[in-house]
Amino acid sequence: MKCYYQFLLQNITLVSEQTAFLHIFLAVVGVMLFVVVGLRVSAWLRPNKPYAEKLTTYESGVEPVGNAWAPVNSRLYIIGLVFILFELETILLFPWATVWVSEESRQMVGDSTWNLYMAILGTFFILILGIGLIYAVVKGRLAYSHTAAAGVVQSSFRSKVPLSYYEKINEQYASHVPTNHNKLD
Amino acid sequence: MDAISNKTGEGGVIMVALEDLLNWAERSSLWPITFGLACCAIEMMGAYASHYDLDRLGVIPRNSPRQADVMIVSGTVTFKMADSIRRLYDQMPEPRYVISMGSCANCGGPYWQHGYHVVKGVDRIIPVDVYVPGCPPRPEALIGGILKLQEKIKAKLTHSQLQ
Amino acid sequence: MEFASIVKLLQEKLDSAVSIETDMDATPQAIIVPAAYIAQVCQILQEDSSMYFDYLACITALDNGPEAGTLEVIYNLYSIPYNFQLMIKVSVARNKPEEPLPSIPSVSHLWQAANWHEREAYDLLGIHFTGHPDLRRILLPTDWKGHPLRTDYVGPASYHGISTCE
Repeated sequence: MKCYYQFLLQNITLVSEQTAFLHIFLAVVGVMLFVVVGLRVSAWLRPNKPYAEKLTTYESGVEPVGNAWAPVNSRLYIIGLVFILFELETILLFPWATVWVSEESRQMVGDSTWNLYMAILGTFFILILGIGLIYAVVKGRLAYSHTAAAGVVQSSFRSKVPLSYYEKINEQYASHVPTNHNKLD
Repeated sequence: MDAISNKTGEGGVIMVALEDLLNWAERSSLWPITFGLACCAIEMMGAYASHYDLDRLGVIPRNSPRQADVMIVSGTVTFKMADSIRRLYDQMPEPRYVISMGSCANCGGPYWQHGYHVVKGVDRIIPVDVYVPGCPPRPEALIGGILKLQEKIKAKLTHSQLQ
Repeated sequence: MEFASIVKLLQEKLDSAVSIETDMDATPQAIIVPAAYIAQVCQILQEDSSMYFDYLACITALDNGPEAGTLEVIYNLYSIPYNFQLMIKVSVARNKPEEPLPSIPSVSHLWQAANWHEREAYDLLGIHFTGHPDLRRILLPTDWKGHPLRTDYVGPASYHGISTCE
């Protein structure tokens, strides 16, 4: 076991792409072990005494009423969807940039042809997605702030006293200066 | 700190029984449900705040009984509230402790004689580990109560461990 | 605006069968209204342009004991435009243990504040307000028996299994 580890450590500087997969696999296995061991040990150490009242759903100390599911505004789903699309676009732009700069492709086709080809490719890609974004914004799919204004409820209370009576009192106290209780001044 | 004396040389190893380790972990991180009912709650808030600071004792208030270790009943317990207190206590996972803070939670307080709506002491509803007297008790008194509970946990004398 | 002019105006607007008495020693000075007419009187006080009592400060109920045999409800009104305070006292007969609760017309359609104040009077003294949109207990638990602020109230021995004695 020990010589295997030494062998691994020696080869870390010479790691090729194939042994990197092994390292990642070992990391994944290690993480899964860590989680499982942690859960098992704590389950073994802690007391487990369930009874009916303990297992009831928590609702601030009262009997739970109704279903916990609430309707979600579908605007949020649309915004998430559009975000995913543009995030994928951004992710795809990285390999495009890397390949443009790489040596192998240049040598095959020639500098100017390659540059023109990659530039047109990139612009075309961004342009199509940009048109999609403009369409979404113009149609109002990305705006959700105005729903807050729609929720304002107009009060139905109508006072029997005309407003002029209250304005008279406001004028009476308009020049009122609040008493300064701060004795330090 | 009791186990440090076992350290010898550099990179010392502390040997403890598992029970002691778990008790140390429990008493160093008592997380209460925020259960303020009346005036004692103001003193409890004062104890949480920076001047008296319960966070240095490991005490962090939690909103849900599922994440809490201790219930500090601070304030008058009315019959209307009694059902909720019992239910919340039931929803706390073991090991769980109860600190009864203030006169009203201990014995009904100033309402003991004429209070038709007051439960004369929260120990009529849930088992209590530590009583903190006062009306309201000062934050130092509450901290004293929490330290007393820590001593009880260390000596394994609490309700959940006796069951 | 003066107290005497209010009494005169009320007397004019109501039927002659209704008599408005006054209590000049109270602070503020009070008018005593028969229970059946309280909603009418309050509506006149709120809508008349020389009075405009737009603010209901408090509704209090009290028990005069089994010997006197009456319960009282006291309304404290204030007119913001005219800066004038008024007290209204209403008296009802106490009910015997088997009889239904005494009733008074509710004023919660005039002032929203009356909603919860009348619920408190019902909860603690057992006065029923007819026309109240939601008359139920507000301070005590919903299944509590009895009205504690009555002078002859005797509490239950236990509630939900919790003993109530000292």
